[in-house]
Amino acid sequence: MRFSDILGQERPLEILRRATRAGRVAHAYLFQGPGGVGKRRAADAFAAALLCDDPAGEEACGSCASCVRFGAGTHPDLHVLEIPEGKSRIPIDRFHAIEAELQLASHGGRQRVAIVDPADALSFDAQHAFLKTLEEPGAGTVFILVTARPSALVGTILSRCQSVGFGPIPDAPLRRALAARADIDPKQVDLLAGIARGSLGRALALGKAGALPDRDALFEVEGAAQSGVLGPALAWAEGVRGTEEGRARALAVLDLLLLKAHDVMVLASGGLESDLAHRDRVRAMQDEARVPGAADRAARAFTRILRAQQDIRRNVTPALALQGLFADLAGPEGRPGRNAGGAVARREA
Amino acid sequence: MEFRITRSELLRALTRIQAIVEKRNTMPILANALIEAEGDKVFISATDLDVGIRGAYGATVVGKGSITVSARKLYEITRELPEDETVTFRTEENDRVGISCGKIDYKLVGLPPEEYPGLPKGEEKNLVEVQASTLRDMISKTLYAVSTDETRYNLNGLYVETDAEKGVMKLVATDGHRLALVTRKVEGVDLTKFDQGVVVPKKGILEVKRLLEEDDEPVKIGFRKGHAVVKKKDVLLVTRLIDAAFPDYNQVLPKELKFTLKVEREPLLASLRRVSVLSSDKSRSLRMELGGGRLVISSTNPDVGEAREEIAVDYDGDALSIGFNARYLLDAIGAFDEKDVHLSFNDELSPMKLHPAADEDAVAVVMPMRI
Repeated sequence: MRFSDILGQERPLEILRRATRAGRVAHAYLFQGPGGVGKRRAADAFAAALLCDDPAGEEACGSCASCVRFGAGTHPDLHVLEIPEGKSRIPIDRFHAIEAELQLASHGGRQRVAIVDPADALSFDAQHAFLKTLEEPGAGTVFILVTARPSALVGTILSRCQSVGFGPIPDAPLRRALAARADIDPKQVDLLAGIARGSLGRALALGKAGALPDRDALFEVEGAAQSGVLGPALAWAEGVRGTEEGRARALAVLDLLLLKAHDVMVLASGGLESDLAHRDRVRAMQDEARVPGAADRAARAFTRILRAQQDIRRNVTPALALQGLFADLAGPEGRPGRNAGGAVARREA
Repeated sequence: MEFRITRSELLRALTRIQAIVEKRNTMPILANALIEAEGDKVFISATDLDVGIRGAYGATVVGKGSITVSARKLYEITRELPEDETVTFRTEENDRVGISCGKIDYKLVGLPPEEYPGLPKGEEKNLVEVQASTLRDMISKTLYAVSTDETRYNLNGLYVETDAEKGVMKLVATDGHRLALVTRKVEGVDLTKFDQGVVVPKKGILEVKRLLEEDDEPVKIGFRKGHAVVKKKDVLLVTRLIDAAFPDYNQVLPKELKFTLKVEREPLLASLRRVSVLSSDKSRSLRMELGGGRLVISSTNPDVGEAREEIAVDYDGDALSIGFNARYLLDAIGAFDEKDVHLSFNDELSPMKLHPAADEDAVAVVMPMRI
């Protein structure tokens, strides 16, 4: 992984390059910015450069013993803290394991790097435990905290990290990257690039989940649900299966709905057309935005959709989560929590 | 790579690394041994990233090279091969390994050696030679007191300190309730070469101990830049050090002690064991009462019963009644190996100091309990 492989993040990468070049590396970084724009890739590239035996300028050489191990995932001085499969958070025992590891001198006797991705998946307790480690890092230890939700981190952690902000990937490189991928239908590149709003991760997830071809049908049943006709939406949701692909598809579908709610809010509050995700559907959405109270309604829908996504990540059956959402959207004012037949409402009760 | 090695030599190498090979499945390649052939030697290494060991073994090398392969499987295979046979080991395509011995053939799936994380990077400079028996004795008299409380990681190892002026090396362990300290003269050794005071993690010490127990071959040791290195003939052991300061243990050592008692070690140990059977499972507390020429050891456990034993001792100090954790006494006295022990006290609430009667340089300090 190299800095030069990362799309359109010149400013943050320059900060990192300069730090490496000058040998003035902070002990903790916070890579923040929207999801899917290359924060983790940048963390990997930065870590590889810091650990490289023979860095060419500020990049990892890619061929020394350290880089070979880095590539194989066996570098002894790289520690990665991630959400384990099937979990929604980083368990505290994983955190303690890394903490214990960092109490020993580094393996190679030089620099070591700990990446926490996403840092907002650390529980409140783990974050507080982390403070101590952040305050007294062992010699040569660099922490990289990656997050799309810095607001979920306690202020005391934020203040101990040097913040590096990542922005959306500009349109042109995003399109080029999508066009170069074999697993993305070339016909969908323009649409995906528009909807993804600068997030390669989102574009790929949408493209791979095959949710795009569903979009028109989805918006139709959602529109019907919003106006109180729930039948088609429930039937449509029934078709989403509980498999791993089904979950990915449901999450992608919810992303589409989320962006639509966003678009309606933008239009209803007089925002620019260029800020829209579903730019090709601007007409239909303008109609929706003209209805009195549309902005409030869209905002409520937005929160409700986020909750549905969270539910699916917490293992609620995708079809149920979607049906619960549609039922709530169909309420007189799209009020969340009312009359939801799905698992969500039952769990809350 | 291809080499021929006797079964016994290969088995010796593999037995040596079994305890180190990673059991947790964090990084699959750590379950493998790194095998390198060059010149007339085969180097076999293993690491769990905290401790690493690399040994050189005699072999006929046909083609040099290296590979990593499951240490466990290789050990199990070698163990089952007929004795006094020669084993041929060769690498094949796609990191596979062929092992043959007479008419027996094995094929093992390996992993590329370039991906192996390697031993912790210890420096083999400025090593000093120590007698195996000295170091073995020092470790066995301190290791028991190492803390297992993971939140106090600076106590999770043996503290090694040298005093170049006096020509001594000290090993210290404590868990906050007890302390063990052994001071030994190290003959003809330039101790100024050592970094001052390091904490070696328990896991590393256990491996060093294992290495020392193999034979009486002297070892060379050194501590540098976060790593401890132990070298014995053809074996190199490297362990990472704990990156934290050890507390000032001198504050814990009682300076003046009013009363001293000399007891024969074996009978005392046996009494303690007998009485501790009925000490409470949780506190493990027992009481020692001194006075009138006798020592009474007793324990009470309201749920189970009570035990009491009297030992005649040569003691003319004040009458005292002190509570202790039975395990701490058993560990400390059990680690000594001389005939008699000295127990010294001040009062009911001060720490007790123990040492073998003829050896004041092996000290244990145990905090009393309120019971």
